Amino acid sequence: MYIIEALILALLGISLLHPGTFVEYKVQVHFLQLNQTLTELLFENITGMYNNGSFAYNLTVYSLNYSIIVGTSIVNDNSTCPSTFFYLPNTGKSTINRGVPLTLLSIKNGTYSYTGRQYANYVEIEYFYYVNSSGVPYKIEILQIGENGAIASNTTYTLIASNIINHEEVPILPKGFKFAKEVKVSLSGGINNFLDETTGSYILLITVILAIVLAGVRRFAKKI
Amino acid sequence: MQRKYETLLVIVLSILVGILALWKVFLHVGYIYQRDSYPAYYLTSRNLALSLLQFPGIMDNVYMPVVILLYFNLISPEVADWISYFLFPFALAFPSMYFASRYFLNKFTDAKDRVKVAASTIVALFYSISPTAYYFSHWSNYAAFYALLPALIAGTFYSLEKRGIIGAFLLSLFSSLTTTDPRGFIFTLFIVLTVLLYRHKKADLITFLLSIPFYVLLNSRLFLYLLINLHSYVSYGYGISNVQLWLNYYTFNLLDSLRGLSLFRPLTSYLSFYGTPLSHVNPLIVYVFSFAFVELGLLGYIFLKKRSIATYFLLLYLFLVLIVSSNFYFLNYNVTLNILYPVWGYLAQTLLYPYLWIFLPTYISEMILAPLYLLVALVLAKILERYYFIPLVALICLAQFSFSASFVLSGNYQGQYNPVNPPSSVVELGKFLESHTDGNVFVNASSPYNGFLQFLPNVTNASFYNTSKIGVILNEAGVQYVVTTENNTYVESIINSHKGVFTLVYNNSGFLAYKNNYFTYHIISPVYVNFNSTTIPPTNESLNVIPSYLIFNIPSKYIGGYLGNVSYAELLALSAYKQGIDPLTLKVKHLPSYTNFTDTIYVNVYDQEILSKYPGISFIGVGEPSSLNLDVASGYYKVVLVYVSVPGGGTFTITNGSSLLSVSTSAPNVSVNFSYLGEIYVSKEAKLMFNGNQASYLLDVMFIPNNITLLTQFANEPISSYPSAYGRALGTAYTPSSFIPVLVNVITFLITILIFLGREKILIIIKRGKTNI
Repeated sequence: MYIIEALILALLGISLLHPGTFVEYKVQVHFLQLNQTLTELLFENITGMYNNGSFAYNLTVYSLNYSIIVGTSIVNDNSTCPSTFFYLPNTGKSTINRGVPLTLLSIKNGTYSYTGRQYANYVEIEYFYYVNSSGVPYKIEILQIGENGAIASNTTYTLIASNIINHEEVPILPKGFKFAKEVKVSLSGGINNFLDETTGSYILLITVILAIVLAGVRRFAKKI
Repeated sequence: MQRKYETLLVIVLSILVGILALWKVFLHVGYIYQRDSYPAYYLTSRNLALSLLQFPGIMDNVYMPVVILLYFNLISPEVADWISYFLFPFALAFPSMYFASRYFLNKFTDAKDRVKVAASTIVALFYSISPTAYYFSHWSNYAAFYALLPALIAGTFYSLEKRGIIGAFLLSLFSSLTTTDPRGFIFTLFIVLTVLLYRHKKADLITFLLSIPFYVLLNSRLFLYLLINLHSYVSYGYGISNVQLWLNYYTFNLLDSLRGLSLFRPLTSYLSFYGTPLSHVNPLIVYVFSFAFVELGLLGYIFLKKRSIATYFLLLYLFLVLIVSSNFYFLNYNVTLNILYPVWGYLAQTLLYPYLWIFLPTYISEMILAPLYLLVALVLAKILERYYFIPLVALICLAQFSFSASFVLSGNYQGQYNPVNPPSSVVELGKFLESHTDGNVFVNASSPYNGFLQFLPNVTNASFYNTSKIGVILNEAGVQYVVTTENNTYVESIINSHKGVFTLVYNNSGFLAYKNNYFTYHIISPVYVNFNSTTIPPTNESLNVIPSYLIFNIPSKYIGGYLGNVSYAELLALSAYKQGIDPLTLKVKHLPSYTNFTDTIYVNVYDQEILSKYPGISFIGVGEPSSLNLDVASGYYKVVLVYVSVPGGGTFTITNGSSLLSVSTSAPNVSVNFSYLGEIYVSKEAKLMFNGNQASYLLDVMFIPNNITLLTQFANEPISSYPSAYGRALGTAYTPSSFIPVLVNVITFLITILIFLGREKILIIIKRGKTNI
């Protein structure tokens, strides 16, 4: 029902975007080399529409791994063809001009698959958007391919809620998450740091004890 | 005879170690892409040799044979690339550590020959494949220093024993091995001085002083480079210090320093066994095992009988470890060390700041492992005397190997070494550009070879808009050629609609190069400030144009006006600058993070965005409520603040004690802003304050006398500009004269050899001269 309404509105060229419009995704990033997965909620919420064809939305990222709000920022975008906001008003066209231009890959059972490709220095990033006529992608996959041709990370966006498809939908956001304090970029993260703080402490202790004991033993042996 | 076999063994093992370290890429004779550099794949052997000889090219003496081979076309650049990966440091470190260890074992122990050979082989093997060796393998000069440091230590002892002219000459030769660049020179001097201190003999001091002239003659190139290009070096150093000094601040754990690990640990971890047969190994075991040689050295020292040389190694090792370490965890307490950091912090406020990069902890960790492993060699020789200890040694070796195992097993340093084959189409394009361009190259291509395309000669960034002035605008960025691919409709549509501007000069295997007909090498005109970088300045002819954030970098006499729309604040700032009013010099500190006003760059997402969006920008960062006294004479002023807006941000306030002028830096986008704050009367003092808790970026503060007039006409002086990496640079192009140091070095090198060979005759002549007098 809502889809038909949305279709009609879209056909009439009326933008479905207005203050309060939101999309919410669950994002899973899997880093193959580290074998680590980050899970996040990404919430895009339109705060203002402007006459010049642009709009502003609030982007909030919730880290489910650490139960904190990682960041919030206001982003300006173009309402006729948003370049970052997850809404594709021109779904069905063979190319869509987003931040990363998308080309139509296939249409199957009302699902449009788009693909896009970006080269960032030596790294290739491949995008796959799966979207139906509502214009809101229900799944996005992003593959990061390293210089050696191997997949370095695999990101999946899964739609949780959006009031573009269903007016009555409300965002499902975790409660009680605090804003992350400005995280100092520690260059020494990871498991080695963890081990330095735990096991390393004992290694240091044992070394000191052994050094004292062995020096004692040697002195004693000399006397004999 | 035995010596011969031993030498042969070392040569064979050195080659095998080189292969073992990077076995997966060993058969790839060609370019290997490293973590942050693509090779200059379009150069011929001769051109590569010449580019390596220019400032600030390579200075390490041990790389010279490769350069000579290249210069005389005896090897191709691919072969040079290939052999240097195995030589630096893997294949060089083995013989260096082997013979150093052998020397000390011969001199200070009475172990059997086979024990000495075994102990030396073990330490040399593990020294060559240590995680530190892998890390520094990315840069041939650092790798050479790491590899040859054991040779320097042993060589210094050997030369000082020899004494006299021969000793002095040998000392200068050994020191030249590790003189890989200014940093290598300082570190070499440090090591030689520690040996002099340890031996504290008067005769040594004479040998050392005698070796100085030899050393200077052998390395005249380095000192001439420094003399001629000091200003460039200082600016390089300044950039490096800014970024790296504070990156290293307070981050080194003692336990990492003990194992020679430092800044590089997070980039590739020795604990990550992904893609190797040991992918399910428990990191805890590897972590504990990685201390094998550290424990062996420290605890084994207690059991050594003749300790004198061992004490030198131990003290040198512990000294280096302790000065670079920031902290360690002991029974749930975080113990802070930071012994050298306050010294750095103090020096950073002095004139020495641009030179501090030489002493960065990252580089000091090059020196940590050599003394430790030499100490381990002494301990191993002691243990191996008893046959029943052999299983223990095997166990220790196995444990130590696990430290390097993830790198060795991966065969390509965990994917950091990637063979690349630039396709011949890209190489041809590169060769064409190399021989045809004296300007910049703008690349906008959709190709899987974008990695290579970004490393074509003289690639620069520029605006590429569909406008009739496109040729002129590209020339303002020094762009002579536009490179694109056949299927790139965006670029093609623009080029096709401006047929007179572009000439197709290259069309081969899908790559197109268009010549910008409006390109001129020099632009001679006053400098115009572009206040609106997103719109196209209305120029009809080639003008020198700079973005607004660089306005105060140009002497005001050259500024001839502005392009684009101008706000009141911008016109006021420009008019005042033209009339001799400079922005205030702010007395800010070099801080590790934005706790107060600081001119250092702290790594966060906005810093990176600002730096990449506005090349050449320098800003003052602040992120907590702070205040700063301003040096302003009393009077009425109009205040203009130049800042970079960011999401979040904060408020900058100017106060005279009673009234305030403020501006908020918060905006959805990162952009440079000129803001007119209002008028203020300064009687005694003025203060700049910041209120907020998120990073904010200040560029300049201007106190403009109230009676200044707004200019509509700008008196100006033309200046010449030429294409450079950042678009264009003002002034005249710097012509590399740096072959002179190389030629002088060749001559002084020959002179040194002649002096050495004829030393006896020279002595006789000197004696005769004395008796004649």
